[in-house]
This record gives sequence, structure tokens and C-alpha cells, in this order.
Amino acid sequence: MSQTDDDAFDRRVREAIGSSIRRRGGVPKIAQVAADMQTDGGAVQASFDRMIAAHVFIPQRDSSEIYSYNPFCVEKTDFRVRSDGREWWALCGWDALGIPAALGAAGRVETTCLDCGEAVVIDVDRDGTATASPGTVMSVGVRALDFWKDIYFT
Amino acid sequence: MRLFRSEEHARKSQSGDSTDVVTLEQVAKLARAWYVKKLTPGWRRHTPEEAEALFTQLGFDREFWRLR
Repeated sequence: MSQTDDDAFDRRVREAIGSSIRRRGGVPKIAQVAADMQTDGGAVQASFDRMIAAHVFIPQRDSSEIYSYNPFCVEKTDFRVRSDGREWWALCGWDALGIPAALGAAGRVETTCLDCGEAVVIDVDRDGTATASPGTVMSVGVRALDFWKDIYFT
Repeated sequence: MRLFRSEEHARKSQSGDSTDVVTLEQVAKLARAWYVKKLTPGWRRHTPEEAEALFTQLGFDREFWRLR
């Protein structure tokens, strides 16, 4: 396939992933995307590999499967989000607040303060307005230029 | 990118000088702008230029947020 064909196919794959997240409430695997698109799993895996190289999503270690189609993580983390009638998981505070935004819904973020261990609860309106205990902040420990140097750490 | 109950708590947990602390209002605006189109048809990853422009627009204009 040409670069243009690949780009068009990758766009369809991204749309299938997004649709699956909305419909099923979770990030799909390669086989699910291939089934949804009624296409070959090898072609979808090749698309996933191109997207991994382009930092479109974070893969599972030693696999082309998705670990986080940010802001949606495939497994439980320290950041639980309740939104759109479902429970979701995010890798960080930025992503947790992004889940209601991506779903176009209100939501609640639940995590703990890394310093004192007390609960941090943030309510997010449909328009993105966030409400929590006064003084709540996010600490970013990696410069933006270095986010992808060790994305599992970031 | 952890959340803290206060800036004091965040500073206590700071491991080096490559750290920025942002308010909840700032990160909420950033998260919304960054992800609001994520599940829509035609979404694609931000280019570095687009990402930097977004950071600047939202007040993340410090050296820490440079991408190039």
C-alpha cells in the first residue's frame, strides 16, 4: 500500500477504536478492531505498529496491543473516572480529566494525594469545569520535550 | 503527572528541578482542549507545532512546556 493508503486505513482504524470505546466502554484489542472493520488482523496490526511508531498510543510492553489509547487505559490504575454511566481508568491526572472531555460528558475523578495519601476527588462538568478541594494541583515531573523518552514513567 | 491536595504537598514530593506545578483549573482546561475530539471521526495526533500553540494559548508558556 502507498503512504496515502496507509494514512487512510490508519484513520479508519482510529475511528474503529474510538467507536469501540464509546460502544463497549473499553479499549479494543487488534482482533476486535479487525472484526469490527471486517478486515484482516494482520493489516490492523500493521496499522497499530505505525501508530505506535508515531506515538498515537502507548502499547503494552512487548506487544502491539494498546495499553493506553490516552486518555483511556486498559487496566486499573490510581486514577478512576466515573463518566457517562461507566467506570474508566487513566494513567495520570491530565488523562483522568480528559476522559469526561473525550466522552462529552460530566464525570468524577478519584485518586489520592501522592504526598499524604488523602483522597483527591474532582467533579468535572460537561463543559469541562473542574471542582475539587481548594488548592488541588497537578505536578508534572517530566519536561514536555521528554514525555515520550520513557512514556511508561511519564 | 500526579494530583496533590496542595502546592505544598506537591513541592514536598518534588524529586528534581524538572518539575512544574499547575492549578486544577489549568490542567482541566488543558485536558479538555487536548482530548475533546479524541473519539470523533478524523481525530489525529497533535503536531508539535499545534501542541505548543495550545500550551501557549492556555498559559503553559514556560520553557518546561517547549516541544522543540
